[in-house]
Amino acid sequence: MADAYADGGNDTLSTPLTLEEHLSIENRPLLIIDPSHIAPMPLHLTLGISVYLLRLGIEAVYFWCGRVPAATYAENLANTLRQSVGVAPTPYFNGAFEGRQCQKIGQRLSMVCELLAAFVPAALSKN
Amino acid sequence: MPPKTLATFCSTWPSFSVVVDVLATVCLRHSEASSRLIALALQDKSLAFVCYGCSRACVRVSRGAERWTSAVSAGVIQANDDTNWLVGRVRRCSKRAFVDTVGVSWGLCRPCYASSPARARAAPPPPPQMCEAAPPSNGWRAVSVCGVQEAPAEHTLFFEQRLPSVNIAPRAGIVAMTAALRAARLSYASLEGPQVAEVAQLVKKHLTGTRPDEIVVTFANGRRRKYARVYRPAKDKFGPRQVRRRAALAATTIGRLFAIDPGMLAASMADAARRAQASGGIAVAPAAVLAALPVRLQNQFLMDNGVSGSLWRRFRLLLGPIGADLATGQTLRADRRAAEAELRNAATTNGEGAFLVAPRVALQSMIDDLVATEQFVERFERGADGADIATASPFLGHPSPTEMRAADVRCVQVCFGLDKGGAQSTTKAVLSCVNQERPCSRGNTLLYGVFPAAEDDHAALSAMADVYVPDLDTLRMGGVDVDGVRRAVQLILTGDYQFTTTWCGHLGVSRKMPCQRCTAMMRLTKTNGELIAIYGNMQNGSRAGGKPRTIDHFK
Repeated sequence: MADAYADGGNDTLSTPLTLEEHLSIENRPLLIIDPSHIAPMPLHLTLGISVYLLRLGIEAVYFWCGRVPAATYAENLANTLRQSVGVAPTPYFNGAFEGRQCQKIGQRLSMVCELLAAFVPAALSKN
Repeated sequence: MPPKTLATFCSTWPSFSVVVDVLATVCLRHSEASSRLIALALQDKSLAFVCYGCSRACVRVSRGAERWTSAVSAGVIQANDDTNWLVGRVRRCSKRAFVDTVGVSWGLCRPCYASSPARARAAPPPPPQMCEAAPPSNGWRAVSVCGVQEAPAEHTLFFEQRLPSVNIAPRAGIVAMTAALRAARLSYASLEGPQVAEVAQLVKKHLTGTRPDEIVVTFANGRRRKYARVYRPAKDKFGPRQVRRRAALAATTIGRLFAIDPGMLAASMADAARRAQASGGIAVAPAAVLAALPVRLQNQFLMDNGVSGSLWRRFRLLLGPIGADLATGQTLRADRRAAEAELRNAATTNGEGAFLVAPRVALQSMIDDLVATEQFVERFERGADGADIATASPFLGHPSPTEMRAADVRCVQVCFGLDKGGAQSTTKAVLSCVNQERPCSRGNTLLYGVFPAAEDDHAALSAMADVYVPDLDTLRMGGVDVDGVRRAVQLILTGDYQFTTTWCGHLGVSRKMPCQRCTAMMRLTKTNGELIAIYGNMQNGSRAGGKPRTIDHFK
């Protein structure tokens, strides 16, 4: 792609490449690097994965037990995070957690796991 | 409120005339006034009596009294305040005493008789000498205090005191005020419950407001007693309690900072407190100095030492009451904005960036320092089985930066990232060596360059890449020395998602194949069903099925 886009992007080509050809790379890559060596910022990884792990637990309860237990689990999870873990959602970023709060959740993840085990027995995970 | 309190109140209230009107509405009644009230209100004085226990006029429980009450209620008898007062006080006379000079009977009402057996058994007091000239009244608009020359009964709250007859007019000067005070003191026992409460409230409010240092009280026996305020130090009593509270606060705060066992933490804190107490205390943060620090200086301290807002907040919390003198985060931000707006601090740019001339030298110095201080940490890649891949082969150099090194070649992992922000929008390029603890810490990174950029689009990043990429390619081809051994440089591109996608040639973060690791498409639409079958769908999560991208896609 770097050779193809040496003089400009895909729009400047006389015959623009199709999606199958450029695979969404429509400008000249500025650094030729192995894709496996591209990593998001650790802070962004922490922010994203922490929240999605918590949400995944709610989805698991919904999947195995139904809607009402999932709502109960979500409420208990919020209480656990606030009272036991000691974190509160930030008033920005749609109520997500900050990096330090995510680290605290990771340090005290056993509380979340114990709560999840009360709703979804560990035996179900082997199915 | 006891009479002593009233006397105290009177002796400490120099401007009593102001509230004479208030006390006048309280409507004092004493025995003589009650007798005159009966004489005035009733033609048949035998229908009522004066209780020498509570000093109040009472209507007897009899048929004649009942007819009189009914006549008053029906309006047959013209009613006034005195009459209405009597109608509401119907009581049985349990003990007869005497008939005074006005012709009114005295006795004990049933509640007074029942409340004190000693008083019920005692002989009744002699009849008082009534003053015929005084106008009968039950109020304070013109209160006569004559007729109290006789000693009151033992069970009453009257003081034995001889007073001249004087009519009191509100706000009539010091003489009237003094007489009013005496009359109030004498008539205090005849007040109703709510009236007593009201006077008590007035007294309490006055004493609370003035807080006199000395109070002189003259008792009925003529003794004068002076009450002076005595200050007793309570440090010994409350000091240990405050120490325990601060120790608990410190233990809680330290517990948030360090994830260690609470028991060990409590023991450590107790040991530190004991040592400090034995050595006479440690002045960690003098309060006077902290209070004298200007906000601008505190801001400068934060910036010079890289103190974040959360760390500053914990620092204030740890200091406790002393920390309240430090500026809050909100104050610091406001001062920072004010400093940025000042002309001398205005940041300008000529559109050109600044960057390290020799990043390789800077990186090599960092690695040498890590090796010298034994902080260099080996990092290994993991194979398909998850196990670390051992590296033992030497690095002999690469002819091309895009050439992949062999898996067993020793390497140093170097991160290159950009981030945009700041009051003057600039993009900062950062280099960091992963082979150390906390490589993302700001103190462990190298500021590679600063470029003014309002947007981090492809054009702006291209201008930066023209500066950075040749040096990075040189690093990748030549490697760096670690403890005298040449190693390959494994470059890791990091940053936020928009930067990495733009850097790799995507038009934006929401292209049809947004992932940089695989070719999975964003979502299934009406037209891309065939492509989804080939390249995968991100909505399927771990079963997306995208094909892994390779370095050849970028070449």
